[in-house]
Amino acid sequence: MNLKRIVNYALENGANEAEITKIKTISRVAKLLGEKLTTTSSIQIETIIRIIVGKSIASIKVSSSEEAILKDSVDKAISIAKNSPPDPYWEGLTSGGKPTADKLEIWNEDLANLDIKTMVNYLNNDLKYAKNIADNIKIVGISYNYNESEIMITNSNGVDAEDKINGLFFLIETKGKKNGYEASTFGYTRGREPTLNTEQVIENTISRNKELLNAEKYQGIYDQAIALDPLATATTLFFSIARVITGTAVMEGYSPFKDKLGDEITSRNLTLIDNGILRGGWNSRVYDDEGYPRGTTKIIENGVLNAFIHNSYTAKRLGQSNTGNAVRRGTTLTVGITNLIIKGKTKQYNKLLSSYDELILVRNMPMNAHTTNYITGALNMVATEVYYIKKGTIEKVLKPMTLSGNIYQSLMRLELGDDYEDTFYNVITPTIVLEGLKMA
Amino acid sequence: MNEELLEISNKIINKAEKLGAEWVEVRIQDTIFEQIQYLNNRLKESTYNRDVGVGIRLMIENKLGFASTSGLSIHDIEKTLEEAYKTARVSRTQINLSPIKPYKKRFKIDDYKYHPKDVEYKEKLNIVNELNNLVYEEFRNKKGSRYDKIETVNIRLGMYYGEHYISTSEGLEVISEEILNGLVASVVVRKEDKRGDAYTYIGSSRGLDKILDRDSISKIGRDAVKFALEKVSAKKAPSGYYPVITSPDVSGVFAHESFGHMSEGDYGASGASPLSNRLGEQIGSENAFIYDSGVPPNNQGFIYLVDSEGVPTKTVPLMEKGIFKGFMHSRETAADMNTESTGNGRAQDYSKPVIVRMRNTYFGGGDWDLEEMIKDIKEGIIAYDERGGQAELSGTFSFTASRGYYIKNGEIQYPVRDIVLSGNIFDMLKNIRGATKEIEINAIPFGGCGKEGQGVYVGLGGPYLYISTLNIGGG
Repeated sequence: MNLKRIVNYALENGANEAEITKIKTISRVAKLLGEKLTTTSSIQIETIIRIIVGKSIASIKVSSSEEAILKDSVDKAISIAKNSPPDPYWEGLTSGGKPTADKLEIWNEDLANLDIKTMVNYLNNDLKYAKNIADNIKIVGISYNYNESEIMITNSNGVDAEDKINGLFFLIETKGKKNGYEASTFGYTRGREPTLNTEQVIENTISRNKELLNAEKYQGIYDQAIALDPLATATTLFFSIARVITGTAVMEGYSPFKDKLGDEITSRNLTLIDNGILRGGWNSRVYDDEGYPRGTTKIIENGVLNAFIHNSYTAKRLGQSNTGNAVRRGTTLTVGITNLIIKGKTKQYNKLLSSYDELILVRNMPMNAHTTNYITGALNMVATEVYYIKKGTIEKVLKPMTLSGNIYQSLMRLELGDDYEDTFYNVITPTIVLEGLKMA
Repeated sequence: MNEELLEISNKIINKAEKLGAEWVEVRIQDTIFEQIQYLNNRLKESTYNRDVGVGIRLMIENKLGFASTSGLSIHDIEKTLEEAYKTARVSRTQINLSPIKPYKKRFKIDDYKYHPKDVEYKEKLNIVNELNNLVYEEFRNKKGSRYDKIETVNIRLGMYYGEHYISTSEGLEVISEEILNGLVASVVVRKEDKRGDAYTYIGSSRGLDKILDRDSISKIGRDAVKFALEKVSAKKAPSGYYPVITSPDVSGVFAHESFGHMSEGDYGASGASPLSNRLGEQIGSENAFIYDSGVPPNNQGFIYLVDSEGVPTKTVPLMEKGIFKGFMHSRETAADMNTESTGNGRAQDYSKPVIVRMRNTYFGGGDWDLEEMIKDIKEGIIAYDERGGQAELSGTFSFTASRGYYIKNGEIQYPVRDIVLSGNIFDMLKNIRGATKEIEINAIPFGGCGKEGQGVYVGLGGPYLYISTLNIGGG
């Protein structure tokens, strides 16, 4: 399907501007729940049509790329736009730009040929390996998830962008029971090669689950330094600061940092970079979801708020530069992080932990920060993998605790380890130690 | 959705049988999601999404395969069928499905006047505009001083509707209508450095009737401003163990997140649930009743008449008088546990496989009045506006209620904010002292329940619950 033809059709039929995005997604999943295997395969095509009549905008998404259906959708979008009030701030679709990167290493043809049969073989081998070392730990689930996306964006302002990306994701979930006490955990890895090194993840996950079965209850309230491992850090930052350093959050008024450009908003030991063109980055692409070239933005430099991330609309509204962070969620075009990198002065991991007389270390915490109030920074979440550390040595494993406090205030005092990980929230971070939070 | 789709389904079933499939299921979806959003006094978005596609599940030598496509051309479907065949061939797991008596039926929600597709776009736009204006006007009337500012006003109208077509080689042919509409007002106000936020909504599966009702619109607009302003001056909730009254939506989160998930048949069958092998056991107090239903009392919540496997939905008692009564099932988990499907086999859409999901999960009503509960409390709180939280399968939970009131000597004293309720569901269930008679169940087409990468609409709610002691934190 020639998207340009649909753009022209829109212009000929009453639209002043038009943008067509076609996304083709292929996924293959092989999953074991207990001993039960599920295999699925899916191909989906979505076309998103954005039409502007005057300064009135309408968007339509259809699960098709057939010309007749797209033309009908264009007609409908034109009709909606004509009946909608104008957006007084609308200044036009982006005209794109020259890509700032190529050869991002985000597509592997060999991986694209990975079939479901091979994925099932991987699962069987992994299950066998896990069972050999599991002892009293139950393997709740293991899965491989292959995904590829092909994105094409064309607009009436000259944008003609194309990206192709794929990846393979592995997940293992385990559970154990000892003296009536149950504990569970998970591990994951991902990559763009047709094989993943899963053995280490399996060993590490089972070993952690065994440790968790010896958990003891922490008596009282702990209010000293708290270390968040890379995934716990990523979760916490993804659901708090990552949501309010966007042009959308500033423009819509809910960012607590909206008037703070140039101010110190975190510890001086924190630099926060969004890098949409990181070579091999999980969330790297040449273009953003409007077809504007992605780039690198230093959001916080040595604690000082340096820039917000933007799409073309928020950048124009706020009189700032477009950073190529347009993100589409369904039909909604908004702003989001790409690969968020935490930088600063790091300390060797063991030295960092041993520099505190006592410390609580929180590991994993996958979704548990999603209830964080990103407007105020109020944080309340359950941490299920908790370790009490005295002078750098793990003294005991603790039962689940609630972590609470204000994340923005805590970011004013932090230290970084050197154990960098690229986490599944696409936040690349080491362990961080924060003060001012409480656990109970 | 009719003859043409029936023909497509029959073709798929015939071809699959020729390939050697002993059982085939075809799910075709044609649904719409419309959204109109006003943000800070201007139209932010008018969107219209149409999802059409087909999912094919088949069984070869008792092994299941599943594939899906958004294309309805013969070429796309044949390719998808081949994929489904391949996925079944590589499987080594023997699957059984609980039997279903084949039948043909069109399930239709008819308890309404205004279907969203019959209401003009301009009328829908008016509703959003009206609520937006009302919020600003209410704020001008209610703000305490000129220093009070309204920072964000976000008004969204969402309308989901359409049909799912399910047919199997057993001869089952079902067309299922789904509708869920919601109008949401989200407001952030500021007084100096203090912010207060509120989120109010109307949701219904019964057309747009409730949303077109001006009194309902006016109520959520006024409440949003009132609660946001109240939050600015609200105090911290006390910390520690206190009696707590949970509002219907907060009660619903306990029912759904804490108890509902562990009552899902897949977790029960695999042994992952702490309820495995505990059928008939006294788990909660005699005042604890929990149900999951496709059609909740008074047609509240999300009306879900038939599941993604074509099984009519039943009301499933999960707990009665504190006794665990049973799991929710799809055809697969029902066969695993030697029982019947309860109509809980759901797929997010045509592209996803069926797994066990909740529909509307709620605590049953009791014989208390809210006033009686408040009078009974020497010191405690009443918690409103659930803002989600986390629950582990082990029963550990931490939920947030956005606002509430501190109660002393049987009387409400002052508003409190950001209340964190934490503990273990098995302790909480033992401490249920009572429930109000009336129950309220709500659903809106924004968000829903997530499991294994699939999001589905669900209803949440129940009565006001009186919990004799619960751990409160936050603030």
